[in-house]
Amino acid sequence: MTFKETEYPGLLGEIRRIAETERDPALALERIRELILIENRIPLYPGLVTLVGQSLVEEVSVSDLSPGDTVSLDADGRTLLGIVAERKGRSLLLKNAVLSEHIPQTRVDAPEKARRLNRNALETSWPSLVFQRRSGKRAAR
Amino acid sequence: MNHTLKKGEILSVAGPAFVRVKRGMVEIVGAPLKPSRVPLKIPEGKTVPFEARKPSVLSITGADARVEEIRKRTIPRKWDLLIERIARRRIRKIIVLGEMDTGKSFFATYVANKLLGRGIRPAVLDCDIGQSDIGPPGCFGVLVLKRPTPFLALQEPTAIEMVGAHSPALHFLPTVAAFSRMTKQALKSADVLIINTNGWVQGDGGRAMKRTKLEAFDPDLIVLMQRDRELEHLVVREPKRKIVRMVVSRKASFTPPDERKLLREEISRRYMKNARTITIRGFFTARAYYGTGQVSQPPVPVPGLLHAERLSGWEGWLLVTKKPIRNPARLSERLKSRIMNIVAGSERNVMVGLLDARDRCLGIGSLQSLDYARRIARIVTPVRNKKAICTIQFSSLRLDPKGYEAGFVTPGSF
Repeated sequence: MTFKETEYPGLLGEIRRIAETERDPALALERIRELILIENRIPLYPGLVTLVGQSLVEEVSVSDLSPGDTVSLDADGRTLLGIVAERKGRSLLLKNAVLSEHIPQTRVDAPEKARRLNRNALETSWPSLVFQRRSGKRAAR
Repeated sequence: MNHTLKKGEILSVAGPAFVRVKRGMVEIVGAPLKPSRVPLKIPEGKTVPFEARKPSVLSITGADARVEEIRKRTIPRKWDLLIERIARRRIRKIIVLGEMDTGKSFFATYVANKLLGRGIRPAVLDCDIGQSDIGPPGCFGVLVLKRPTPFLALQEPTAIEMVGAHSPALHFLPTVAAFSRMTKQALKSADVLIINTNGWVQGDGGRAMKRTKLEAFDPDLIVLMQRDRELEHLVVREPKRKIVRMVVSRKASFTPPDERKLLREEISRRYMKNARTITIRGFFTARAYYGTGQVSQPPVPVPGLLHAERLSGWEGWLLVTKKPIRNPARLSERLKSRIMNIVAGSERNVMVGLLDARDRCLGIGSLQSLDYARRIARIVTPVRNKKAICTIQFSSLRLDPKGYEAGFVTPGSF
């Protein structure tokens, strides 16, 4: 079959775009959550979910923000996602804010356990479906 | 308001309107209309020409009715020439392609009425499950025409098959299965079968669906209702002798999505008008996991469990519970298998097809409740012959008992 029979690849494409272009990781997660909520409401129309998903985030003037709005912004060298509790001019009080920060290198005193991201999950689980090894990594045996 | 027409004059009426012939005779969509006490309803969103075959007087009512005198016949002469060709060459299989709102239904109705007038028995298969003229929305409907009609929706369908959605997207398999069964059935009862398709003609899904139908049906005639060349990609490989190109009528109007929904609901509500609640026991299920596994007790306790089935192989357990399972991942781990959770009550208003012992669709209904353990279903439906119902076929739509659209069912939920 050489035609797509569903619009789910498009929806995945939208998730990929979010992952690749959204610079605020917390906002990326919220956008994906919203897509899931929309898909729950119109499960028969993944194409429309993609279309609606493209209008999830808009750039607005801070003076247009109101309490209750969920915003992402860069301020004081930080990237923040939060809910506007109060606005006085361009001074915002944000609640439930999530700070995203990229730290090139840092030392930590770790607890006993950590969660590791397995970047060879496909090679490990379904090696018969792997035709090209990921560059720079040895496939797990 | 009364309108007087001389022979040959044409009046275009846009609904919502009621039209009654008081004197004379008119033709509407190829069907003769004589004096009658019962007015003909023109639905909102539809515009039809009334052509006077004799000097006539029409009574037209409706606050939002729009009436226009037409100087020139809007039905092209080419349509009548095609009808002559169909009759002369005894063509049997015709498929009509076109984008949305290009007058496909009007064309199919006109051709069917005119063929009937020549003593040829036509059938029309309506494959537009989102905007069906035959049968309820979400279904394919076939009508073997025995008497002329200006609107196919005015006659009881000869047969219907439920696809279970308003678009073939995500429902290709039931669409193709219904198409295959209905075309075979219709060709047994009619001299000519005219297939009215939906407007999805572009993109992967549109191409896949239309090409599949063309290949499966192998029509004698492919009618392209197009404004420019927007359908040519579908018939590139088809023999030229099969293709007839019709320029789309200037009167074919665009129907916005909201209006389409209203039109759909009008049909559903009319279908469900005389519906009543029936109780069915011991039925089979179709297009569902429920009812296909082995009824069993899971090896670990499941809070609020009402019914459980061990499904096939890696499909795991189907668990019907009073409330959603709190930690499905944890339960799945404990059971060492996949789980599928149905919450009792979530079946409310699911649109269901009611099938007989030969899998023929007797009609559709609105599922109100399911006793999953005892296999008892309460359904609101106009289907009268309860004893003939063997199988409840699940759809991806919700329809309330009055026929209003009430949401969706995620495929694979039941």
